[in-house]
Amino acid sequence: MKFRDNMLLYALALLVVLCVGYSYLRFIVMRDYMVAYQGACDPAAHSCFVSCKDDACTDKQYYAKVQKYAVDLYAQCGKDITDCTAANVCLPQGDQKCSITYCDRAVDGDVCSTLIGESSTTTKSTNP
Amino acid sequence: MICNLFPEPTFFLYSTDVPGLLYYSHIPTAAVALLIGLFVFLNGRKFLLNRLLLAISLCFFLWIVSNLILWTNIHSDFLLFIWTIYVVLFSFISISFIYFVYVFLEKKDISFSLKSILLALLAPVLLFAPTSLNLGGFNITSCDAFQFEGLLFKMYYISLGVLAMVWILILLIRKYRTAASDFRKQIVLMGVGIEFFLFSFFTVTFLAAYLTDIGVLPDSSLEFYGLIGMVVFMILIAFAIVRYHAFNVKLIGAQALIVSLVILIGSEFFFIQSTTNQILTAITLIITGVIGLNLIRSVKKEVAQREHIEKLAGELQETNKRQETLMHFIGHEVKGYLTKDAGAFAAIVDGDFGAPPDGMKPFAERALAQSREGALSVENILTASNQKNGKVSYTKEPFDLKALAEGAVEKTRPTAEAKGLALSFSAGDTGSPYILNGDRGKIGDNVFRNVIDNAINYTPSGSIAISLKKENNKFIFAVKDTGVGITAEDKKRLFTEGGHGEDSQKVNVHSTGYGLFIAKNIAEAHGGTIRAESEGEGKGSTFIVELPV
Repeated sequence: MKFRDNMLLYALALLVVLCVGYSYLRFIVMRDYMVAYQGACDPAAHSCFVSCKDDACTDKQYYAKVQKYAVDLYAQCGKDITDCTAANVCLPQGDQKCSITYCDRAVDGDVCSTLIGESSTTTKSTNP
Repeated sequence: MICNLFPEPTFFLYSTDVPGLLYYSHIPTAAVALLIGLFVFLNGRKFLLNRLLLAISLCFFLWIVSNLILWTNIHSDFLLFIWTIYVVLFSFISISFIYFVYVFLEKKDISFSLKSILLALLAPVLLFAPTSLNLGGFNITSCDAFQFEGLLFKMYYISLGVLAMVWILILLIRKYRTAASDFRKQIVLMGVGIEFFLFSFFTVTFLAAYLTDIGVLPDSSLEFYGLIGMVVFMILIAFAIVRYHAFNVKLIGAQALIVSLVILIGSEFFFIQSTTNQILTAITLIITGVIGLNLIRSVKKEVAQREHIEKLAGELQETNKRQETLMHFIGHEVKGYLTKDAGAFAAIVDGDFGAPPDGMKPFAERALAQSREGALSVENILTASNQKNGKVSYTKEPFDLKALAEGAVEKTRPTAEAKGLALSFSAGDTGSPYILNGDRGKIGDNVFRNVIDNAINYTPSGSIAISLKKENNKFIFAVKDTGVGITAEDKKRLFTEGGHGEDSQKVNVHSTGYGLFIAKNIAEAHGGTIRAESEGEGKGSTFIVELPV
């Protein structure tokens, strides 16, 4: 009886160790996950998401929604993507999974910037 | 990757860019849970229930620490790793509570098959928590992973919490129906604590995450309020320990109170800002701690003394019981010998063995009287003892009280006349018979005889007037003498067990002090009363027995 009880305890301990070990391996060692962030966007070239930097909205920020594979992004920019131009584009070589989502007025509404000569433009770049 | 819009925390967990309530809601709650868990475990580590409470407390403590890390840290790799642990701990708490409640209710470990079921429920969480079914990515702009959480996995581990709530509720209700009243109170305490904790913890945490995910809330700070459930649970556990010695732990209320006060005052450090307030709080904390320790020491000492006295009282009661049994045995033996002696003397006096020689008859008559008196004294002591222990039974039947009183007077007349006392009896003519429903023998021998004998014993000279009348639905039997009287001080002791007047034994050396005590008990058993009236020492006294018609 004691052996059977302990058997369950060992099974539980094994599952916990596997769970913690695999989690450590996946996220900290392999960086096997996607990273989402607001990438730089040129309102003259794309329909960008717009957000205000202050309450009065005198200073606007234009961005696109970028998702990159963490291991690639780390290779391109290191830990911090600030001032890393590679973070704002999907590189044909070096990005296994990458997507940049620009603003779509039909979906996102008034948070989109307006391109000169167009009411709204949505461009999506995905690699691969 | 780091969340570049947020500052790096200092001391790993401290950040200025978090809601002010974060530390105040998390740290004291974690401290209370861990302290109570450890306290219960250290006071009874061999008990499974105590170990399970520690396991729950530890899981909860680690969950809080994980939650603090998720709020304050900015490294996505590390945060995703912790997020996985956080989810596992969340599920662990649900399953542990089911196990805990089973052991609490049944006072024994659960079966192998039930353990297997609990493990099977937990296994999917442990297997899939590190996979993309749980977390696929991380948003370093908002510094969270809500948008990458797998819905199916999330629904599964949240439903474990719901399952635990329902399962535990059913177990508690089923046990409550058959439990003893004292245990029922513990079931209610524990049930309210656990259900409230699970409800607040899972519901609020789920709602906070869901509303943040769909953009209704800017962040998941709503979850802070869910932690109050653990505080309530721990307070109820502390109450159960103090009141019912739950978990086989002895804790006095003062200890629980002082620890709560220290935690409460200490937790103020997490939201007060000014240095002056911090210094004042620190002083308050130190003073409370010092006074509290002294108070606990003093209360502990008192509790130890009380327990010692209770133990001694128990032993004394046991000794008294044994002595009483011995006294009873001796009393019966002595009474037996005296009765035999009285029989022998009576035979001599009655001339059963022929006419006694000259001078022997008065000697035999005195010996007979003394043997009878001795037997009566022993009988009184035994009767008083039986009355005290509730061993006396009464055989009630209707009888003529007047005839009984007359009989008692006639039986005592020779003794009174031998002392030169005038004994008279009068009964009021009511036109109806004096019929009383009661124990004829006890009222005659132990009430009327005792009261009349008492008057004879304490009246050196003069007269004794006995009367019986019916008034206001009561039979009133009164014995008025011209004896030594009763002082106010003696009146207090008159009807008590073995009670004597201060100088009574100078007048009556054979007094046991039980006669009037027995008379009082019998009168009261018949719904009546007995009292004594006297104008003071040397002024005679009147004993009045009132019995309801």
